[in-house]
Amino acid sequence: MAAKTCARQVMNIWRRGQPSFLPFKELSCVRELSQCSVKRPNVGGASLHSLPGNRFSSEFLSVVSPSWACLRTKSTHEADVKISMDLGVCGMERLEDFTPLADKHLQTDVTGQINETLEQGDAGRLYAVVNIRGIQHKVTAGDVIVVKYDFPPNVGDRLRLEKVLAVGGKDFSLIGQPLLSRNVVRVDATVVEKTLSHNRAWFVFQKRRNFKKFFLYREMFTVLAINSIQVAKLSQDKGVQQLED
Amino acid sequence: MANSAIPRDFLKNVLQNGMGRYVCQLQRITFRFCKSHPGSRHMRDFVENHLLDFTKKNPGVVVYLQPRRHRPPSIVAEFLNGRRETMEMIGKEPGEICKWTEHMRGRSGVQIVNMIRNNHTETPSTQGIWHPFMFRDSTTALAKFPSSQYSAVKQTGKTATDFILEEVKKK
Repeated sequence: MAAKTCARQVMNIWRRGQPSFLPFKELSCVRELSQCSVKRPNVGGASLHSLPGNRFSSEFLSVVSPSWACLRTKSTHEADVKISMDLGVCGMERLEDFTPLADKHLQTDVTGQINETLEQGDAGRLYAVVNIRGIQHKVTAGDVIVVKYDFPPNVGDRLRLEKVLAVGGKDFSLIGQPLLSRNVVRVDATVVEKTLSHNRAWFVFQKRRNFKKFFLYREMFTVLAINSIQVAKLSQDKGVQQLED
Repeated sequence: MANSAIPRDFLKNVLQNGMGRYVCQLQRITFRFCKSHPGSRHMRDFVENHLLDFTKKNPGVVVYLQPRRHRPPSIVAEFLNGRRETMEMIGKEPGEICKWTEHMRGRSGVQIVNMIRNNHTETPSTQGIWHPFMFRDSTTALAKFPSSQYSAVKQTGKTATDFILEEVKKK
Protein backbone atom coordinates (compact mmCIF):
# COMPACT_ATOMS: atom_id res chain seq x y z
CA MET A 1 0.00 0.00 0.00
CA ALA A 2 2.74 2.35 1.00
CA ALA A 3 4.65 1.53 -2.20
CA LYS A 4 1.55 2.25 -4.31
CA THR A 5 0.91 5.68 -2.80
CA CYS A 6 4.59 6.48 -3.16
CA ALA A 7 4.46 5.67 -6.87
CA ARG A 8 1.31 7.73 -7.31
CA GLN A 9 2.88 10.71 -5.54
CA VAL A 10 5.91 10.41 -7.78
CA MET A 11 3.69 10.44 -10.86
CA ASN A 12 1.83 13.49 -9.59
CA ILE A 13 5.02 15.40 -8.87
CA TRP A 14 6.28 14.42 -12.26
CA ARG A 15 3.19 15.71 -14.02
CA ARG A 16 3.15 18.95 -12.14
CA GLY A 17 6.86 19.53 -12.73
CA GLN A 18 7.97 22.68 -14.52
CA PRO A 19 8.77 22.27 -18.23
CA SER A 20 12.35 23.26 -18.82
CA PHE A 21 13.75 24.03 -22.22
CA LEU A 22 17.29 22.76 -22.16
CA PRO A 23 20.05 23.23 -24.73
CA PHE A 24 20.40 20.24 -26.98
CA LYS A 25 23.89 20.49 -28.39
CA GLU A 26 24.52 16.85 -27.69
CA LEU A 27 21.47 15.59 -29.55
CA SER A 28 22.29 13.35 -32.44
CA CYS A 29 19.30 14.62 -34.40
CA VAL A 30 20.81 18.11 -34.61
CA ARG A 31 24.03 16.82 -36.11
CA GLU A 32 22.09 14.78 -38.65
CA LEU A 33 19.94 17.79 -39.46
CA SER A 34 22.92 19.76 -40.71
CA GLN A 35 23.52 17.01 -43.23
CA CYS A 36 20.05 16.58 -44.64
CA SER A 37 16.50 17.80 -44.27
CA VAL A 38 14.23 19.63 -41.88
CA LYS A 39 12.03 16.61 -41.51
CA ARG A 40 13.57 13.24 -41.96
CA PRO A 41 11.01 11.23 -43.88
CA ASN A 42 11.01 8.38 -41.44
CA VAL A 43 7.30 8.22 -40.83
CA GLY A 44 6.20 5.26 -38.84
CA GLY A 45 9.46 4.87 -36.97
CA ALA A 46 8.47 3.18 -33.74
CA SER A 47 9.95 3.98 -30.41
CA LEU A 48 9.23 2.86 -26.90
CA HIS A 49 7.65 6.26 -26.39
CA SER A 50 4.91 5.37 -28.81
CA LEU A 51 3.91 2.05 -27.27
CA PRO A 52 0.32 2.13 -26.10
CA GLY A 53 -0.05 2.13 -22.38
CA ASN A 54 3.49 3.36 -21.80
CA ARG A 55 3.01 5.59 -18.81
CA PHE A 56 6.36 7.22 -19.30
CA SER A 57 5.69 8.32 -22.85
CA SER A 58 6.11 11.90 -24.00
CA GLU A 59 2.58 12.98 -23.16
CA PHE A 60 3.25 12.50 -19.48
CA LEU A 61 6.66 14.09 -19.55
CA SER A 62 6.86 17.73 -18.73
CA VAL A 63 10.47 17.76 -17.56
CA VAL A 64 12.88 16.77 -20.30
CA SER A 65 16.57 16.08 -20.16
CA PRO A 66 19.01 16.10 -23.08
CA SER A 67 20.30 12.65 -22.35
CA TRP A 68 17.18 11.17 -23.93
CA ALA A 69 16.75 11.51 -27.69
CA CYS A 70 13.29 13.08 -27.56
CA LEU A 71 13.14 16.83 -26.93
CA ARG A 72 9.60 18.05 -26.77
CA THR A 73 7.82 21.09 -25.43
CA LYS A 74 4.09 21.63 -25.19
CA SER A 75 4.09 23.95 -28.22
CA THR A 76 5.87 21.33 -30.27
CA HIS A 77 3.38 18.69 -29.24
CA GLU A 78 0.47 20.95 -30.15
CA ALA A 79 2.02 21.81 -33.51
CA ASP A 80 2.62 18.15 -34.29
CA VAL A 81 -0.93 17.15 -33.40
CA LYS A 82 -2.19 19.89 -35.71
CA ILE A 83 0.01 18.65 -38.56
CA SER A 84 -0.95 15.02 -38.11
CA MET A 85 -4.66 15.82 -38.16
CA ASP A 86 -4.43 18.01 -41.23
CA LEU A 87 -2.28 15.72 -43.30
CA GLY A 88 -3.90 12.55 -42.03
CA VAL A 89 -0.58 11.03 -41.08
CA CYS A 90 -0.92 9.11 -37.87
CA GLY A 91 1.86 8.90 -35.41
CA MET A 92 3.70 11.89 -36.81
CA GLU A 93 3.52 13.71 -33.52
CA ARG A 94 5.54 10.99 -31.89
CA LEU A 95 8.44 11.18 -34.31
CA GLU A 96 11.74 11.81 -32.57
CA ASP A 97 13.33 12.96 -35.82
CA PHE A 98 10.87 15.80 -36.34
CA THR A 99 12.91 18.79 -35.29
CA PRO A 100 10.96 21.52 -33.53
CA LEU A 101 11.15 24.70 -35.56
CA ALA A 102 10.20 26.74 -32.53
CA ASP A 103 13.90 27.09 -31.80
CA LYS A 104 15.44 30.14 -33.48
CA HIS A 105 18.94 28.75 -33.83
CA LEU A 106 17.72 25.74 -35.73
CA GLN A 107 15.43 27.88 -37.88
CA THR A 108 18.23 30.11 -39.06
CA ASP A 109 20.43 27.12 -39.67
CA VAL A 110 17.84 25.35 -41.80
CA THR A 111 16.64 28.44 -43.65
CA GLY A 112 20.26 29.37 -44.34
CA GLN A 113 20.92 25.99 -45.87
CA ILE A 114 17.76 26.10 -47.97
CA ASN A 115 18.61 29.59 -49.22
CA GLU A 116 22.11 28.47 -50.09
CA THR A 117 20.83 25.58 -52.22
CA LEU A 118 18.35 27.90 -53.95
CA GLU A 119 21.00 30.53 -54.63
CA GLN A 120 23.46 28.08 -56.09
CA GLY A 121 20.74 26.48 -58.19
CA ASP A 122 21.32 23.11 -56.57
CA ALA A 123 17.69 22.62 -55.64
CA GLY A 124 17.12 20.46 -58.70
CA ARG A 125 13.73 19.04 -59.50
CA LEU A 126 11.06 20.20 -57.08
CA TYR A 127 7.85 18.44 -56.18
CA ALA A 128 4.72 20.01 -54.77
CA VAL A 129 1.57 18.67 -53.18
CA VAL A 130 -1.28 20.63 -54.66
CA ASN A 131 -4.97 20.66 -53.80
CA ILE A 132 -7.37 21.26 -56.69
CA ARG A 133 -11.03 21.21 -55.77
CA GLY A 134 -10.48 18.85 -52.90
CA ILE A 135 -8.27 16.39 -54.74
CA GLN A 136 -4.58 16.40 -53.88
CA HIS A 137 -1.83 15.58 -56.36
CA LYS A 138 1.89 15.28 -55.97
CA VAL A 139 3.23 17.12 -59.00
CA THR A 140 6.52 18.01 -60.60
CA ALA A 141 7.32 20.09 -63.63
CA GLY A 142 6.28 18.35 -66.81
CA ASP A 143 3.60 16.04 -65.58
CA VAL A 144 -0.11 16.04 -66.41
CA ILE A 145 -3.07 15.76 -64.08
CA VAL A 146 -6.80 15.55 -64.59
CA VAL A 147 -9.44 17.77 -63.03
CA LYS A 148 -12.80 16.10 -63.16
CA TYR A 149 -16.12 17.71 -64.08
CA ASP A 150 -16.78 21.19 -65.40
CA PHE A 151 -13.75 23.45 -64.89
CA PRO A 152 -14.07 27.12 -65.92
CA PRO A 153 -10.61 27.79 -67.42
CA ASN A 154 -10.39 27.40 -71.20
CA VAL A 155 -7.95 25.43 -73.27
CA GLY A 156 -4.60 27.20 -73.44
CA ASP A 157 -5.06 29.27 -70.26
CA ARG A 158 -2.14 29.61 -67.89
CA LEU A 159 -3.05 28.94 -64.28
CA ARG A 160 -1.39 29.40 -60.96
CA LEU A 161 -2.24 26.64 -58.48
CA GLU A 162 -2.78 28.42 -55.19
CA LYS A 163 -3.34 25.67 -52.65
CA VAL A 164 0.08 24.19 -52.11
CA LEU A 165 0.40 21.92 -49.08
CA ALA A 166 4.02 21.00 -49.40
CA VAL A 167 6.96 21.62 -51.65
CA GLY A 168 10.38 20.08 -51.65
CA GLY A 169 13.44 18.96 -53.47
CA LYS A 170 16.06 16.33 -52.93
CA ASP A 171 17.47 17.96 -49.82
CA PHE A 172 14.64 19.88 -48.23
CA SER A 173 10.88 19.95 -47.79
CA LEU A 174 8.62 22.78 -46.79
CA ILE A 175 5.40 21.55 -45.26
CA GLY A 176 2.50 23.90 -44.77
CA GLN A 177 0.15 23.93 -41.83
CA PRO A 178 -1.90 23.15 -43.86
CA LEU A 179 -1.08 25.51 -46.74
CA LEU A 180 2.07 27.33 -47.76
CA SER A 181 2.13 31.04 -48.39
CA ARG A 182 1.90 32.49 -51.92
CA ASN A 183 5.13 34.31 -51.30
CA VAL A 184 7.04 31.10 -50.71
CA VAL A 185 5.99 28.84 -53.56
CA ARG A 186 4.59 29.22 -57.06
CA VAL A 187 3.14 26.40 -59.16
CA ASP A 188 2.25 27.20 -62.77
CA ALA A 189 0.08 25.06 -65.01
CA THR A 190 -1.51 25.18 -68.46
CA VAL A 191 -4.86 23.83 -69.52
CA VAL A 192 -4.01 21.43 -72.29
CA GLU A 193 -7.24 19.62 -73.08
CA LYS A 194 -10.93 19.66 -72.27
CA THR A 195 -12.81 16.53 -73.25
CA LEU A 196 -15.38 14.02 -72.22
CA SER A 197 -14.64 10.71 -70.58
CA HIS A 198 -15.40 7.38 -72.20
CA ASN A 199 -18.95 6.10 -71.94
CA ARG A 200 -19.62 4.96 -68.43
CA ALA A 201 -22.58 2.77 -67.56
CA TRP A 202 -24.98 3.42 -64.75
CA PHE A 203 -26.86 0.24 -64.02
CA VAL A 204 -29.15 -0.56 -61.10
CA PHE A 205 -30.90 -3.90 -60.79
CA GLN A 206 -33.12 -5.39 -58.11
CA LYS A 207 -33.95 -9.01 -58.44
CA ARG A 208 -37.50 -10.31 -58.59
CA ARG A 209 -38.92 -6.79 -58.57
CA ASN A 210 -38.91 -5.96 -62.24
CA PHE A 211 -36.65 -3.01 -61.49
CA LYS A 212 -33.68 -1.99 -63.54
CA LYS A 213 -32.20 1.25 -64.80
CA PHE A 214 -29.52 1.66 -67.35
CA PHE A 215 -28.02 4.69 -68.94
CA LEU A 216 -24.69 5.77 -70.36
CA TYR A 217 -23.03 8.98 -69.32
CA ARG A 218 -19.87 10.90 -70.07
CA GLU A 219 -18.13 13.22 -67.64
CA MET A 220 -16.27 16.36 -68.53
CA PHE A 221 -12.65 16.56 -67.54
CA THR A 222 -9.75 18.94 -67.98
CA VAL A 223 -6.11 18.03 -68.40
CA LEU A 224 -3.55 20.31 -66.79
CA ALA A 225 0.15 20.25 -67.60
CA ILE A 226 2.37 21.51 -64.81
CA ASN A 227 4.84 24.04 -66.19
CA SER A 228 7.05 24.92 -63.25
CA ILE A 229 7.46 24.96 -59.50
CA GLN A 230 9.38 27.81 -57.93
CA VAL A 231 10.42 28.34 -54.32
CA ALA A 232 11.40 31.75 -53.00
CA LYS A 233 14.27 32.35 -50.64
CA LEU A 234 13.22 32.31 -47.03
CA SER A 235 13.84 35.22 -44.72
CA GLN A 236 16.10 34.42 -41.78
CA ASP A 237 14.30 36.80 -39.44
CA LYS A 238 10.67 35.97 -39.91
CA GLY A 239 10.69 32.38 -38.76
CA VAL A 240 7.99 29.81 -39.28
CA GLN A 241 5.24 32.41 -39.84
CA GLN A 242 6.51 33.25 -43.32
CA LEU A 243 5.46 29.80 -44.52
CA GLU A 244 1.88 30.35 -43.45
CA ASP A 245 -0.85 32.15 -45.29
CA MET B 1 -8.77 -11.12 -68.95
CA ALA B 2 -11.97 -9.11 -68.74
CA ASN B 3 -9.99 -5.93 -68.16
CA SER B 4 -8.07 -6.26 -71.39
CA ALA B 5 -11.31 -6.47 -73.37
CA ILE B 6 -12.24 -2.92 -72.38
CA PRO B 7 -9.96 -0.49 -74.21
CA ARG B 8 -7.99 1.60 -71.76
CA ASP B 9 -4.91 3.74 -71.84
CA PHE B 10 -2.78 6.03 -69.70
CA LEU B 11 -3.26 9.76 -69.78
CA LYS B 12 -1.24 11.43 -72.54
CA ASN B 13 -0.05 14.91 -73.29
CA VAL B 14 0.61 15.09 -77.00
CA LEU B 15 4.23 16.18 -77.60
CA GLN B 16 4.42 17.97 -74.21
CA ASN B 17 1.85 20.51 -75.32
CA GLY B 18 1.62 23.48 -72.98
CA MET B 19 5.14 23.15 -71.61
CA GLY B 20 6.40 25.92 -73.85
CA ARG B 21 3.49 27.18 -75.87
CA TYR B 22 0.02 25.71 -76.13
CA VAL B 23 -0.82 24.54 -79.65
CA CYS B 24 -4.39 23.80 -80.66
CA GLN B 25 -4.47 20.17 -81.68
CA LEU B 26 -7.42 20.53 -84.05
CA GLN B 27 -6.03 20.76 -87.56
CA ARG B 28 -9.14 20.99 -89.71
CA ILE B 29 -12.86 20.66 -89.30
CA THR B 30 -15.36 19.80 -92.06
CA PHE B 31 -19.05 20.59 -91.84
CA ARG B 32 -21.07 18.22 -94.00
CA PHE B 33 -24.70 18.96 -94.79
CA CYS B 34 -27.37 18.78 -97.47
CA LYS B 35 -28.47 22.01 -99.12
CA SER B 36 -32.09 21.04 -99.38
CA HIS B 37 -33.00 18.23 -96.99
CA PRO B 38 -34.83 19.41 -93.81
CA GLY B 39 -32.56 17.28 -91.63
CA SER B 40 -29.71 19.73 -92.32
CA ARG B 41 -31.79 22.74 -91.38
CA HIS B 42 -29.99 23.35 -88.09
CA MET B 43 -26.60 22.82 -89.68
CA ARG B 44 -27.38 25.38 -92.36
CA ASP B 45 -28.51 27.76 -89.65
CA PHE B 46 -25.22 27.21 -87.85
CA VAL B 47 -23.17 27.80 -90.99
CA GLU B 48 -25.02 31.04 -91.68
CA ASN B 49 -25.02 32.51 -88.16
CA HIS B 50 -22.39 30.92 -85.90
CA LEU B 51 -19.58 29.56 -88.02
CA LEU B 52 -17.76 32.85 -88.62
CA ASP B 53 -17.51 33.49 -84.85
CA PHE B 54 -15.70 30.20 -84.49
CA THR B 55 -13.34 30.89 -87.40
CA LYS B 56 -12.47 34.34 -86.08
CA LYS B 57 -11.64 32.96 -82.64
CA ASN B 58 -9.59 30.09 -84.08
CA PRO B 59 -7.57 31.30 -87.08
CA GLY B 60 -5.30 28.26 -86.79
CA VAL B 61 -8.07 25.79 -87.57
CA VAL B 62 -8.91 25.17 -91.24
CA VAL B 63 -12.64 25.03 -91.89
CA TYR B 64 -14.23 23.21 -94.83
CA LEU B 65 -17.85 23.11 -95.86
CA GLN B 66 -18.90 20.02 -97.74
CA PRO B 67 -22.44 19.98 -99.14
CA ARG B 68 -23.56 16.40 -99.76
CA ARG B 69 -26.90 15.76 -101.41
CA HIS B 70 -29.46 13.63 -99.53
CA ARG B 71 -27.02 12.89 -96.69
CA PRO B 72 -27.41 13.71 -92.99
CA PRO B 73 -25.37 16.52 -91.41
CA SER B 74 -22.15 15.73 -89.60
CA ILE B 75 -18.82 17.22 -88.59
CA VAL B 76 -15.43 15.67 -89.17
CA ALA B 77 -12.52 16.80 -87.04
CA GLU B 78 -8.95 15.99 -87.98
CA PHE B 79 -6.18 16.37 -85.43
CA LEU B 80 -2.47 16.99 -85.60
CA ASN B 81 -1.68 13.41 -84.61
CA GLY B 82 -3.53 12.21 -87.73
CA ARG B 83 -6.67 10.93 -86.07
CA ARG B 84 -10.10 11.64 -87.42
CA GLU B 85 -13.33 11.96 -85.47
CA THR B 86 -16.75 12.03 -87.07
CA MET B 87 -19.87 13.15 -85.28
CA GLU B 88 -23.45 13.13 -86.52
CA MET B 89 -25.39 16.32 -86.10
CA ILE B 90 -28.89 15.11 -86.98
CA GLY B 91 -31.47 16.67 -84.76
CA LYS B 92 -28.90 18.84 -83.04
CA GLU B 93 -29.76 22.52 -82.82
CA PRO B 94 -27.26 25.25 -83.73
CA GLY B 95 -26.36 25.83 -80.07
CA GLU B 96 -25.49 22.20 -79.67
CA ILE B 97 -23.47 22.17 -82.90
CA CYS B 98 -21.50 25.14 -81.50
CA LYS B 99 -20.79 23.18 -78.33
CA TRP B 100 -19.59 20.09 -80.17
CA THR B 101 -17.38 22.19 -82.41
CA GLU B 102 -15.88 23.78 -79.31
CA HIS B 103 -15.44 20.31 -77.83
CA MET B 104 -13.44 19.23 -80.87
CA ARG B 105 -11.30 22.33 -80.54
CA GLY B 106 -10.49 21.54 -76.92
CA ARG B 107 -9.45 17.96 -77.55
CA SER B 108 -6.05 16.58 -78.24
CA GLY B 109 -6.32 13.96 -80.95
CA VAL B 110 -6.00 11.11 -78.50
CA GLN B 111 -8.69 8.44 -78.60
CA ILE B 112 -11.15 8.61 -75.72
CA VAL B 113 -10.82 5.43 -73.73
CA ASN B 114 -10.95 4.36 -70.10
CA MET B 115 -8.30 6.33 -68.21
CA ILE B 116 -6.09 4.04 -66.16
CA ARG B 117 -4.80 6.82 -63.93
CA ASN B 118 -5.76 10.46 -63.62
CA ASN B 119 -2.16 11.64 -63.78
CA HIS B 120 1.05 10.94 -65.65
CA THR B 121 4.61 11.82 -64.82
CA GLU B 122 7.96 10.96 -66.32
CA THR B 123 9.71 11.56 -62.98
CA PRO B 124 7.71 9.93 -60.21
CA SER B 125 10.48 10.22 -57.65
CA THR B 126 12.18 13.43 -56.51
CA GLN B 127 13.96 12.31 -53.37
CA GLY B 128 14.86 8.85 -54.61
CA ILE B 129 12.87 5.66 -54.27
CA TRP B 130 13.00 4.29 -50.74
CA HIS B 131 15.02 1.18 -50.02
CA PRO B 132 15.52 -0.45 -46.65
CA PHE B 133 19.02 0.94 -46.13
CA MET B 134 18.14 4.52 -46.93
CA PHE B 135 17.89 5.96 -43.44
CA ARG B 136 20.01 3.40 -41.70
CA ASP B 137 23.47 4.11 -40.39
CA SER B 138 25.90 2.57 -42.87
CA THR B 139 28.40 1.68 -40.12
CA THR B 140 26.17 -1.28 -39.27
CA ALA B 141 27.56 -2.92 -42.41
CA LEU B 142 31.05 -2.86 -40.87
CA ALA B 143 29.97 -3.88 -37.41
CA LYS B 144 31.51 -6.91 -35.82
CA PHE B 145 29.41 -8.96 -33.48
CA PRO B 146 29.23 -9.32 -30.52
CA SER B 147 29.14 -5.51 -30.30
CA SER B 148 28.68 -3.55 -27.13
CA GLN B 149 27.12 -0.70 -29.10
CA TYR B 150 24.40 -2.70 -30.78
CA SER B 151 23.81 -4.96 -27.83
CA ALA B 152 23.26 -2.03 -25.48
CA VAL B 153 19.88 -1.66 -23.85
CA LYS B 154 17.84 1.01 -25.63
CA GLN B 155 17.00 4.00 -23.51
CA THR B 156 13.28 4.11 -22.97
CA GLY B 157 13.10 7.46 -21.27
CA LYS B 158 13.10 8.58 -17.74
CA THR B 159 12.17 5.84 -15.32
CA ALA B 160 10.65 6.43 -11.93
CA THR B 161 13.89 5.32 -10.30
CA ASP B 162 15.86 7.94 -12.22
CA PHE B 163 13.37 10.59 -11.22
CA ILE B 164 13.60 9.71 -7.56
CA LEU B 165 17.40 9.65 -7.69
CA GLU B 166 17.41 13.11 -9.31
CA GLU B 167 15.09 14.45 -6.65
CA VAL B 168 17.34 12.99 -4.00
CA LYS B 169 20.45 14.54 -5.61
CA LYS B 170 18.81 17.95 -5.73
CA LYS B 171 18.30 17.78 -1.98
